[in-house]
Amino acid sequence: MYMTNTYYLGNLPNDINLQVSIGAQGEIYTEADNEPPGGGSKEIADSSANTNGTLPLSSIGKSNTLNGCKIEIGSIIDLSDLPPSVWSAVFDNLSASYIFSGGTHGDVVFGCDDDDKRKSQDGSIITISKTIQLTT
Amino acid sequence: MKLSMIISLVCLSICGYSQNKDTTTISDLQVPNSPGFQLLDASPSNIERPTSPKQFALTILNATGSGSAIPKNFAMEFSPYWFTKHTSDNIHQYLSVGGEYYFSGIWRRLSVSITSVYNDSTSGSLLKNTNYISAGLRTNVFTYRTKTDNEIIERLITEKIARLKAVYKEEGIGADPDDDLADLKKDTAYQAVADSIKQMLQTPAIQLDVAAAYSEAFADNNYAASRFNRAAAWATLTIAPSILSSAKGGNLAILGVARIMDDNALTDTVKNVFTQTTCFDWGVSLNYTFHNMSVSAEHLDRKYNGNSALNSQRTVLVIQYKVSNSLYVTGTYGKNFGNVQNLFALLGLNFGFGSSSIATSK
Repeated sequence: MYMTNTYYLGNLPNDINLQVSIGAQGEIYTEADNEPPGGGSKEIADSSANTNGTLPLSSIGKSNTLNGCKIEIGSIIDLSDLPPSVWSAVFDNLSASYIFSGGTHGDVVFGCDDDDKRKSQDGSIITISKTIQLTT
Repeated sequence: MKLSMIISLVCLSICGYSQNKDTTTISDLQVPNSPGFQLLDASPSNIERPTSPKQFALTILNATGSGSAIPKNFAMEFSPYWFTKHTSDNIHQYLSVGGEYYFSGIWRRLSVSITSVYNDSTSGSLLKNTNYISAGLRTNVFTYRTKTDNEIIERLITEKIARLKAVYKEEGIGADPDDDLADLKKDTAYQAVADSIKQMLQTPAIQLDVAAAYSEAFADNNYAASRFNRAAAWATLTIAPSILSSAKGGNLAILGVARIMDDNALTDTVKNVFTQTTCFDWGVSLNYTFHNMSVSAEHLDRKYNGNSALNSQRTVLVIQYKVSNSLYVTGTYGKNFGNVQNLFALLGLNFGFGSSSIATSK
């Protein structure tokens, strides 16, 4: 039985990979940070090379070094270049996929839950915040 | 000097005259944002905007009393493209930015507007105790930007992403996106980039928009007593050839419009006779803006099907001079619609309340 929003690493020195894609239109910036159990935070990937918030498949570290870490993935979506009449629809139909692979858990796709996404009062800014707990 | 010039112009405006009451202009014939509302001259204050097929179905069920009645005083507008998730699309496709995205796609920009207007007293062309239902579609057929404009917009979007990253780095993503919005509004570099993108997006080199709408009238809100009311189709072609605009700030824009409207109007109130009339309007305008001066020439042609005696044209030259941000002097001269007393000469002042009346340079 797996816990929600938890990825199981195993103890082998495998590469753990992360890939993120955001299903929304607008200018999107995504960043993934690793928060080790001892405190602190370190950026492991960002999407500044593209405009759609995608994090291409890349290694975030060896599985035997990531136990207890939390991976925080945040996206900020700017809709101001789309017509205001569609902002609500973009928020309601927003999708995101956070794909972890390389651990004993296999390839796992975490989605965007309703409480992961928020929007500003005028609807022009959407933020998504997803936290995945890594454990052996 | 400036004041005396203005006073002279006001005096001249008294001498000018316009005998014809039809004041249709090029802008009146442009593709409307909500053709379904425009067809009935409706300005609904409460517009339903469903964002999913489920919400759409619920809105229709509510408006029709679960399918048992014709909707009454109801307005809805939606873009079906946004009803579904689009994981592989990006903003470049939607905005037609980048060489490979000339056609943003009719489906992507499709907007549907539906309205019902019911009054117990006659108002304008809408008769009392009659439910008018109208549905309209509007979309963009294509948007073409020059290679240079595409490169500038791409660079600006990249800069905007860099500003989003900077704000994210400084502030992180807060629990409240309004805090993130406030951070972005405080960032002057972000604001400058955002304003530049908006300005660039407003002036593609070539853009074609089309719309169509259809309406039926239901006397006493009775389905059996329905009759055709009005139908119309619009097309607007905008050309802003940057190659013809001067490097010193001059800007040339060409606008072509066409509208065909079929109207079934009450012509005999005693015998309750409705007569169907088809009217075709087309027009072209050339506008050149240079610093504080704007010169435009406008020609409109109106043809009535089956009654050529009513055919008519309007050709005017409009010169506007911006005295200050809130004061414009406008001179208009030409031939208005109608075949008699159709000289159109007007000089006047616009104090800049409401929308600006002078085109802005790119």
